[in-house]
Amino acid sequence: MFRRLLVANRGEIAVRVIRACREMGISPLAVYSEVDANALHVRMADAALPIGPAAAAESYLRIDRIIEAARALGAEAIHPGYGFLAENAAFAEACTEAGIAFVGPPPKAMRDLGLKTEARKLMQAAGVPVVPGTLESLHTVEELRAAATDIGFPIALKAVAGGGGKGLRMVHDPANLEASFRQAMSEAGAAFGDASVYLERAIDRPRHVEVQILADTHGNCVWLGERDCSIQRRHQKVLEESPSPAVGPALREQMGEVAVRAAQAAGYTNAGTVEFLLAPDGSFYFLEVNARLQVEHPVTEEVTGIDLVREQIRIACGEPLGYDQSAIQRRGYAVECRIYAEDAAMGWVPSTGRLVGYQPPSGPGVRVDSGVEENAEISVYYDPMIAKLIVHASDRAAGLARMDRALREFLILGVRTSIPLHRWLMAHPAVRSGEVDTGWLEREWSVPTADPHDLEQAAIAAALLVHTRRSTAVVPALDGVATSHAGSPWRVAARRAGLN
Amino acid sequence: MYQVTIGDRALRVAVRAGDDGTFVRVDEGPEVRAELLALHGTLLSLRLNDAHEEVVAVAREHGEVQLALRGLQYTAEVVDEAHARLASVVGARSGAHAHLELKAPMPGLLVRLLCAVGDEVEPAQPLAVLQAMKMENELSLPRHGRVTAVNVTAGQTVEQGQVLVVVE
Repeated sequence: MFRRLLVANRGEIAVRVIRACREMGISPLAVYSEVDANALHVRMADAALPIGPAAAAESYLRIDRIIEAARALGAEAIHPGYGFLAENAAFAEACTEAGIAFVGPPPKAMRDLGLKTEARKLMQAAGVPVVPGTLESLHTVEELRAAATDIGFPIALKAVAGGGGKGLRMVHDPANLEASFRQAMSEAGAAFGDASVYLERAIDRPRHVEVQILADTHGNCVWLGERDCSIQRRHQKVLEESPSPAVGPALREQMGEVAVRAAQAAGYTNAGTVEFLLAPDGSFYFLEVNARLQVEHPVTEEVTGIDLVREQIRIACGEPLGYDQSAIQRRGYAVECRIYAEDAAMGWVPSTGRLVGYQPPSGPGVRVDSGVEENAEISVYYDPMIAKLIVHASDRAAGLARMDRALREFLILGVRTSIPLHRWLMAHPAVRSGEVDTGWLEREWSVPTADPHDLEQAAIAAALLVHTRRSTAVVPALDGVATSHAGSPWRVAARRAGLN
Repeated sequence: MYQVTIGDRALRVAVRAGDDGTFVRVDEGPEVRAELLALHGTLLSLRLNDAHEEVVAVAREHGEVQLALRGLQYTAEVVDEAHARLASVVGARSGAHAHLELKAPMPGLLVRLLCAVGDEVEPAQPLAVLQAMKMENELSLPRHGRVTAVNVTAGQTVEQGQVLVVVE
């Protein structure tokens, strides 16, 4: 087994990988940008080196600096986490050239699967169902118009070089084709450095169901069950659950087998996710392979009891899985809510600031994967995810109730969060009955009005806080100090009032 | 007596110091015994009669209190009623409330402007599109009103906190 492993990432996923290393007796190593010098992942690692300024392009995306840090720290392996360089084949190759094991799939599989048009060809040849559409990228509006007329509206324009909804445009009306084409290309170019787009038929009201697979370098491949990520906003997953309320045992088996076939067709090893669109009639189509550990991997870990990061590291070290499909058992239900720093009332724009209050939930069946603590800064430089809240329970109803309980306990202050959205979801009949599709959230969402009882209590707390300060803060100079520092005024006031 | 404004709701909270503790009353509701216990950092426990509820709260300037309770956040504006009466005479408060600014939540490129001076706009109606973090973000305001100023043009780079549009 590796003795030293470098995590080429930050935030919650770096913390997650460091924890796995610690449990495996591997010495975890970290890298950090200037703004992350005191971040949790840096403090949890055995050693860490700086790799540049805050902007990811100058730090977490710098292959040369990361390899240099890995060498200097004596790393035998690099785990890329997700995002940043996780699906960058050139990075995987650079690791190999430096004699460092890359914890992820082989570069060739990454390249083939990274280009959606190539992946579609590969899958079609392997007998994996793909959504009808073009197998090549489109260069002109004329080409697009011909293909769209052929396939029939509505259509989806997608970036050849990437996923995650960037560069994706749904077109219902032929009149919008040209504008959507330009938007999709410009967004794809900005996000992936490759403006190519292709076209697929839009499946009406699909669910997003993905299958987790694990493949070792000895030819063994297993599927670990599905995750339903149908609750999305602007093609970004908001909530993920397993099992899917729309997948029965026969369909699960079928999707699992197809996922394994897809992975094997691509020569895939390590942990991966095969994403499908599930149509209301039960037919499903290959969407893409996420050649990395997914954000939502804990959902599968909770249901199967398998530590996916540990398995990734074992596989990268050349160890065989050591079990086959029959050994994979799924127990109960798990669901994850992504807690983002976002402002619902302002059109969901990312919210930045310091976490002056951070009180995560705990208790039975609750897991919080996070890379922040109280007073951490949510900056503009990185993904605005604050934490992932995952719960495990015996069944779906119990799981949703447990999630709602955990969300109530989750108190964050300093940035706006998506917790109101998640609490709204937990209370929604369509979520409870599981009758959602990938467009459901955007059709249904409206900013919830505050509960009158909650509002009253909030008003009382606010009034008491001001009242306490006013009746005790008698020294104007101190009052000035108190108001200029967030967080401290209460402590100052409370101390004066003898509360501390 | 405090006037507490949260969003578009205004509540009156009477605070009375009794012999055996502090008592509060919201609007015409019953008076309850109340206590705010400091736990650690910004974490407090609000006790109302025999029920406790965990709260994280910070007091900002000008009587603004930000707090989170049962997972949800609130921004409360707390005004001593004597001050409120004075303010309403001056007219400062009503002015402050009718006027709403759309600020850039982060630095980025203003891709599109979707409103012009004089437009009547609805809550949540996209007013501008800001490209940041590789995504196009539609910016809107939570209240309706009439656009009185547009301070930027499409294609312009904007700073965090910059006022883009003013609605009254």
